[in-house]
Amino acid sequence: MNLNNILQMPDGSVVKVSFLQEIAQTYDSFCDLVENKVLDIALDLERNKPLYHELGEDQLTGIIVISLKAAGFDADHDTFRNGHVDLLVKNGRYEWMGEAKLDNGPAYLMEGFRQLSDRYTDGNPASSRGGLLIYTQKQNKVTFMDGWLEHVGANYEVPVACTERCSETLTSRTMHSHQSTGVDYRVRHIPISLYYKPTDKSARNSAKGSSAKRSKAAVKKPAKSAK
Amino acid sequence: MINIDRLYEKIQVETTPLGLDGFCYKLVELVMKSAINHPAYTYAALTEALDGCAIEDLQRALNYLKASPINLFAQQYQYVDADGVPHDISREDLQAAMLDNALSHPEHGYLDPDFKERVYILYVADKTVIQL
Repeated sequence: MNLNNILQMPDGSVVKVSFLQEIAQTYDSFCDLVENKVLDIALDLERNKPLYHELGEDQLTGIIVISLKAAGFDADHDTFRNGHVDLLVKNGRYEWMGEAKLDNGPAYLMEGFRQLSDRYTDGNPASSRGGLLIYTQKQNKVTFMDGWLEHVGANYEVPVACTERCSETLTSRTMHSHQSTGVDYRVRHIPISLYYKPTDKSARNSAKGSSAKRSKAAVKKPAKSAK
Repeated sequence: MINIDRLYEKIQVETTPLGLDGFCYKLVELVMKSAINHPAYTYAALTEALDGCAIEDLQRALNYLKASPINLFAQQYQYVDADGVPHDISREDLQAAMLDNALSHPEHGYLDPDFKERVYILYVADKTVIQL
């Protein structure tokens, strides 16, 4: 299979994306590929909520890292960059960093935004884009994002410009001057909804069944350890 | 370097949810069976070795095994010139060719605008990263 065969594949093809990210010619083209893949993975998580909605921050981020690796990206979890960054995707000197947070309120999320912007990234042109991945269990992602972006704008020391919400992915972008370099630092805010409270009868019964099983298991365990 | 048992355990834990474990095991076995330490494979050879699996599954399994900390495979590029002579080219050569829309011949220096028809991806395994 030669390069032409690969380049003629559909844009979402793993073979094509793997090749394109390997030879990415600009920082922006690399970051666009990373962000598109992260959005695909986020969608997969949202489409399989029963499997994922009870997982914690690290487990969810671990799934994203493995999925990025399988897609051909050099991704890692907990790499040291002035602190342990949740998600680092590299290609030569290009770096895209992601900070992942459970939605435990705006103050908690703001810590994530600050870690990403002021601590992990050096603000150089080849690492001037990143993402804040927000795992939310709350209803109404649209309202949630509006509130969150307003909070960022009102609470960060440097003026933050916010772009319009993407109508397909419900993500938003912010941009602010990086404090150490003055380069525009761009953050993609990616809300991942893990709100899962189905209201139909069969889902309610199924949830009751599994919670009853969990309670039984919980009762059995101490009895075993007491022996 | 990674211990073979640790590698299989890692594959099982990390790739089973993605449905890639079977492909990864087969790729590891293929490399282990090789008589040389650095066997090189084309997509066609790998697809055949994996019983004609879909290329997308093959690519995802390869990507997983070439990522750190496993690093079992490395991606390389081979340019077969108009005379049929193969030349290894670097990623940087290829990046430059994509920008210029022509590849500078590794030996003669002339520009080949049809390089996309003549560049192939090879996956070169490093058997020595697996500790038995």
